Amino acid sequence: MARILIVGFDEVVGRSLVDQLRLRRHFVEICPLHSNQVQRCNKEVDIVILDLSKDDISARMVLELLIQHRAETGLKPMMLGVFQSYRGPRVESEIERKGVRVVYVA
Amino acid sequence: MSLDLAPIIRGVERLLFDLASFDQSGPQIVILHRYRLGVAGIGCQPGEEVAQLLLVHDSRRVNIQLPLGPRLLFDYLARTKHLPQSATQISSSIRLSRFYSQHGKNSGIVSNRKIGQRSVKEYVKRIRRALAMTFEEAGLHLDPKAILVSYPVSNEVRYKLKAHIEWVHVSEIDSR
Repeated sequence: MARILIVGFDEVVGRSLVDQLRLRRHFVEICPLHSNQVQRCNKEVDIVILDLSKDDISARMVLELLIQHRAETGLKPMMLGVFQSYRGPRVESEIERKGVRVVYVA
Repeated sequence: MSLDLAPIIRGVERLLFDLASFDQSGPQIVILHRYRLGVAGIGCQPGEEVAQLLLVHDSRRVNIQLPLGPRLLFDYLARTKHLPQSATQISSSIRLSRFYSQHGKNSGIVSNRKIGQRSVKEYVKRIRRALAMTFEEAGLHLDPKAILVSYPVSNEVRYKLKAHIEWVHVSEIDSR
């Protein structure tokens, strides 16, 4: 059982993801990009799932913030960046170099 | 519009597996030996060369850049990772080992190093520096001192490697 934070997803997709992860007995919370929950995210959270599809500045800022948090706390939270379309190897490697695993959904 | 969320679930499971592996045995490191002679399936043999060290993280392999001396020490600590040892113990064990005294012999040139007590201490520092650079490149925020661990015992320090180690022999790769 892990503590998972879902950030920046649409209501419908986010809810569906929460249901699927709760079925696997994880503790799941969902929040928007600008939530205080992201600011407070610490090593108590095992995994953050972040929607990077919209490619807006807020998502990138949240990503940088989480990377900073992780630099202070160690290995956690581990991060999963989600794209809904392929962004090419350059973007993918740039993000993975920061320690974020990239997945694509369609 | 509904999305297939299976890749996210698989991604989460993979991250959880990585977390559990880290907690249990540290990061995964591959040690590449080359110039192997003889039958596949036998353990490491004298005459082979410790060619390369690779950190495996998120399906990526990142080189751990180390010169010969620290590379040999890393290989030794990996073999004996269940046992914290002092610089004296390490130095004497490496001197007695045929693997290290005949290192690289199968290539036609022996490329060994005398590793004394002082060298062990210096090489430990170099290994930690190299690990720090590799972790940074891999996007892994780990403390090298938590991987190559020092245990002070009275007036001596013992060293132990906390990592999941896998040895790969190049001759096996070639025959696949």
